[in-house]
Amino acid sequence: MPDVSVLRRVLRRVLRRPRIAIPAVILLLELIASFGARWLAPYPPQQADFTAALAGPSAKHPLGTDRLGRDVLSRLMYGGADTFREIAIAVVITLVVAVPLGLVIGLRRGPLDAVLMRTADVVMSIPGIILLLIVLALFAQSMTAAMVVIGLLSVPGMMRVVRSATLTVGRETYVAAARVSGLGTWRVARRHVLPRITGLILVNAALACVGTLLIASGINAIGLGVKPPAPSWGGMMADASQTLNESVWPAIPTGGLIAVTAAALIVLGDGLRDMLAERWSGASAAAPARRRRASGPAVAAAAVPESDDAWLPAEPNPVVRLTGVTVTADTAAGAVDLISDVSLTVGQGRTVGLVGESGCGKSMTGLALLGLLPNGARVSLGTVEIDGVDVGSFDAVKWRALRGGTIAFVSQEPMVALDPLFTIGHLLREAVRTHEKLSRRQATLRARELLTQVQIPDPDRVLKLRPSQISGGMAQRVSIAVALAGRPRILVADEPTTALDVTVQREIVQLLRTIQRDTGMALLMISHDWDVIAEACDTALVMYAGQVVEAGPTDRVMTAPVHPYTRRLLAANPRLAAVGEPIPTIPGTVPPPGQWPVGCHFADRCPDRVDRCTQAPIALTRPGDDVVARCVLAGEELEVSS
Amino acid sequence: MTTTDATDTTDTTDATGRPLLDVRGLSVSYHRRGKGTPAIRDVSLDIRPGETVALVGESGSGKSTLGRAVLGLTPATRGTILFDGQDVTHAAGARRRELSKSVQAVFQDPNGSLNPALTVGQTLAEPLLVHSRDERSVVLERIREVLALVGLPGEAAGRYPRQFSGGQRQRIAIARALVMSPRLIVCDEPVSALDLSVQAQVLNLFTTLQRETGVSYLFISHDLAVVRHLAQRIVVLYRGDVVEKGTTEEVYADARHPYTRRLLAAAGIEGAPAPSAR
Ligand SMILES: Nc1ncnc2c1ncn2[C@@H]1O[C@H](COP(=O)(O)OP(=O)(O)OP(=O)(O)O)[C@@H](O)[C@H]1O
Ligand code: SF4
Ligand SMILES: [Mg+2]
Repeated sequence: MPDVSVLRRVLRRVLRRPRIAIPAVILLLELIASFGARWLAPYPPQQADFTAALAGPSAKHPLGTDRLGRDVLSRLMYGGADTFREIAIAVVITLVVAVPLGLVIGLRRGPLDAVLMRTADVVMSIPGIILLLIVLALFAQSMTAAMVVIGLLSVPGMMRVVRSATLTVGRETYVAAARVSGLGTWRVARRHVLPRITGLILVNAALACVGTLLIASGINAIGLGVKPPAPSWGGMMADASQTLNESVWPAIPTGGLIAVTAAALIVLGDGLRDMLAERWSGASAAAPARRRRASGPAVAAAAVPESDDAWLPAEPNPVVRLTGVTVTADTAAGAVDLISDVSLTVGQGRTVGLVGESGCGKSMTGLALLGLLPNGARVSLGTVEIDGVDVGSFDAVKWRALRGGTIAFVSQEPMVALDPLFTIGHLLREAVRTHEKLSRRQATLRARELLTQVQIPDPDRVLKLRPSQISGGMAQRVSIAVALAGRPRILVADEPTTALDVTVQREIVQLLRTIQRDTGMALLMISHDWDVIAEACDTALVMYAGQVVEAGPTDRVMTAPVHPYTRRLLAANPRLAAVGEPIPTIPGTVPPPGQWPVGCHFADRCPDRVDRCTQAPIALTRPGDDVVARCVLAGEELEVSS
Repeated sequence: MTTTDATDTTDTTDATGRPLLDVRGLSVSYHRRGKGTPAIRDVSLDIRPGETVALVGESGSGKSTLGRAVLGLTPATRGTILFDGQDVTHAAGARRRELSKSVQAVFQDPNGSLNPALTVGQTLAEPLLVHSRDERSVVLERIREVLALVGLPGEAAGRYPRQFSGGQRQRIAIARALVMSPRLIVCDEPVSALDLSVQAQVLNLFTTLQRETGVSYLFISHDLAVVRHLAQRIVVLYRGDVVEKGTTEEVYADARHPYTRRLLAAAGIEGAPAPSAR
């Protein structure tokens, strides 16, 4: 019973994708027609009707007849079974041999790798056609023998593809982690590598099918395989070509069928690869932010009071302005808010810091502003304005133009942003040229200038290096240079220093400050590190469980925090904690989206909680000049202390 | 006393007996047949049961290489690695698998250290599948236990890594290391990608786990501010060489090598009074 439901689910998933469904249906029909030819074909393959030789399509012969008056449709159907069997033999042999070998040598490397790769070179240099002819001569025109040879000859190519994909996946940390867990090579390959490269293997298998189809047809066409009068697609092509000057017709259905089959295989391979990739990579970087004001989020948004953004004008010449932004995502449990009612402004030449625990929505805020929200997530309420323009209705094209130029992004992982295949010079020139029409020489000059701007000594040398040849700190400088290529007006830096050494972290922060002073760029700095916030930011926004809970000038926030969460977050700094005692922490964890309490999101973990905290949503208030906080006690305490 | 003598192998061993991990004169070279400059040169260090030794250095200094060699992920070019008195330098196959019950790892990169195609539960069950034939209910119970240890709800087991934030993923990675109750955990920058409150929680968690289970840590980090909360001894690597070695107090009070002093300054604890030993 459960099998049926799984089958139905897979079927539904497949049918929703025309790029899989259409070729799959075509191939399925071909298979049914071929293997069911005995029952389904209108005529036996050899039955000749001399009165109707070389006829076009008619009611009697839907695909016409050949020069002996045999029914083309019937012969195609009878010939199909052999064709598909041939393809299957060759490709199965290739896969069965090449995939395990490729996986093992890709993971293990070592002497076996060297030997097999050299063997592969040798095999690939064998002239395949000659070998095929010899085999066909030796084995009395056995197509099976020929297909085994083709299958084996394709092993090296497939093995190389699998090996290099395995090498890439094998570098992932989780593969190392699995090995440390005690998994042997084979298990690692099956559990961790194979699922990741199945799509690639499918695409290549589809190509191998097409290759085999063409070779098999070729062998049959020159009469070395299936012996006429037995029907085969290749033989029928050869047949049709003999009578081309009398009638072109017989070549059309045969050639067409081969072409359609080949195309269907390729499209199916591609479609399956994409479907497999989507299963686990939930996000797509290209997805534009969409806004659906009318429908609204599932949570009762109306109950949430509009935020008091009276402090916003404190940022002069705003470059970006988020007003009451709520990001909603579709999850298995329905629509869920990831951030709620976030307002912030970054003025020209200013730096605003977003700080808070992991999972509080800092990155989501940055991504909303960049139009890079993951698939299924969207700005459901509020507005994002960049340079005074509401970007809510922007499509992918407009976003791309904006992202390259006005807004730029530096991420935590500099290496991810830099393609390892190209030199730094190439990467920078590319970045420069997407924004400005420049000659190669001008682009190089500009690239050099950018490297100088990010204070890389000896830029000429660095331009020639590849990302793998530079240190992490240098890579972060380069990725900042790439971000600066479009002369952005606002830069979003999401944990730009987290992956770096302490000694380098400081330099990068200082670099960003210097660039900002020189260019007047606005900077949104996302970090969990108070040291970075202190060093870089004019204004600090503290986020908790999707909301801004405190905001103000960085000095004030760090020296006189008002919100209980800010206070505890500041105290949890290992630098300040006494050795030998537990470092102060905030017990519990951030409630995930969808499980936020009705009242204060921090209530579960707050030692100062009172009854009022959990009854209704808490509004942002502005109890003092420099103070914005989302806490029922904020105003009262302030009154007490002043 | 701190020493700048890289070849020093006369580390004091515990009075109770031999060290849990004993690395002697280890060199690792990534180039074939040992050509080119090795990533680490002639490194010796030992870790006693229940002890934490910090391996400190800048990126590219060879810290991770040493960690990977101990874990058997990178072959040693020269030298020996003894675990519990056994030579495990070239352990492979069944021996390596056996060893993996006792030696586990937590890596830095919380994004890459979990297979995106497996649920958290599947990832956590992995070591159990390899090492024991426990029933499903036992496995599930253990998974819930380790998730609780790292402060995550049990229902996290059914979700995929992409549904967690960076900090949450790192806790999952730590949970995976804890599943087999190992005797040594190689922690390669385990908290440097975490935010402070979680960093504090995780550091406390490491301390608590050590007190309760007697596990030892090889704690690789570039941040001396973090290290001093955990480590009894510190080894400083600089460009593949051990340049400083000593108890935590010694290194903090009397760093000899300029690089160590630079690290201390970056950690904001220059001239700070030596922390007392635990
Ligand atoms: N595609 C998604 N679908 C549903 N929920 C998601 C998705 N991506 C992220 N989340 C959730 O949204 C919340 C906010 O995530 P976000 O990445 O903004 O946090 P963060 O503050 O940047 O954390 P960190 O410091 O770890 O980077 C988290 O609870 C996360 O689990
Ligand atoms: S509103 Fe109440 S529960 Fe929330 S932070 Fe303030 S005191 Fe704590
Ligand atoms: Mg983030």
